Amino acid sequence: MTWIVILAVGAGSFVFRLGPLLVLERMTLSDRGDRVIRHAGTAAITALIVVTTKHNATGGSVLPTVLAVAVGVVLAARGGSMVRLLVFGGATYAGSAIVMELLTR
Amino acid sequence: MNPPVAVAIAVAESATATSTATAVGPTRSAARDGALAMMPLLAAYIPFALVIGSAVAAHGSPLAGWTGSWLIYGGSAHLAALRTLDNAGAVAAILTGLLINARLVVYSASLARRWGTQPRWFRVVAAGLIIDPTWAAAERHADQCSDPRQQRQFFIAAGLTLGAGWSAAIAVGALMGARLDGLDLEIVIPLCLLGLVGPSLRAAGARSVVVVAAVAALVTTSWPAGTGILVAVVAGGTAGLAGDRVSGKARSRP
Repeated sequence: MTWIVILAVGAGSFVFRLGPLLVLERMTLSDRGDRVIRHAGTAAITALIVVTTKHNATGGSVLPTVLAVAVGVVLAARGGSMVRLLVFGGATYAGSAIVMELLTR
Repeated sequence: MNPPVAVAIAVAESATATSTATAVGPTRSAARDGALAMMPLLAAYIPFALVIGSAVAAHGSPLAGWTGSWLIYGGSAHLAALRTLDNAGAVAAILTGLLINARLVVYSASLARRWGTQPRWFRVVAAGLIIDPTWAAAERHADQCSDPRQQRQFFIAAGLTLGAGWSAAIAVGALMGARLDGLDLEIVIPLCLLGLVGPSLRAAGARSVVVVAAVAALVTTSWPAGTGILVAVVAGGTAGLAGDRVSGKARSRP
């Protein structure tokens, strides 16, 4: 069953990727359409951030997750590299998770 | 953070420094630029790939799960499909994976306007390598370089570098399996993605896109997997357009 799922999602994803590249080959988008697509891309990644954060923030890891993502948002807004985001966000998560663990003992 | 990831990050930092130092050099090839552009992203994505590898190991067919690293080539859809398969069956898993990856239509449409003069073979090959980080890198590169040949070299090198590292890390995660569960690595997923929207957080016009999309995604988290993302895409795109209109009016005022 895993094969069927992987192949189906893979084939569908390839269609999503290739379709616009071929369909829009001879079409010229208006400036407005062009801007909407750029914004929609940013919106898609933002939505994934929210979904993955919500998925991670369960039980005792709510506060560490929220703090880590908050640190990540501040660093990203200040132009921090992805590696920096990962190091400081990860450290915040680990630190606050340890503190939470100690407090609940 | 575990030592291999720390080492990978250190290597990526040095690669970024090299990239910055030699960016103006005339002999640097676009392919090398593409590969180097992915190094820091790859380092950051390794923990994400390990999480997926761990999920792959938990399945009866690890080879099938690992094959998704190239076939699906999208961590969130891959992970969600595997988890939904356990909880709700194959049809729900396929729908979930497709809904999450439906955003790829937007990335592809965005690149289509950049690749108007590219040959068809390139579009077919490159299509398989379109994903959040390669889209973001290609958009940035295309802003700086309009030569189609260099854009091709950049994108193929970037996509293959990320894909090879991603696939290898998922394989490592699958081999390590349940031993990774205690590391609680899933926090790296939103942090990696935050790195991609960083430039938007710094641009006044795009900030409204991020805020509106985040609120829309938050409100719709209880909806079936993937549908909330589509709602957020529409809401964010609309907010961005409205923001452009407002800033355009403000600019045209005397």
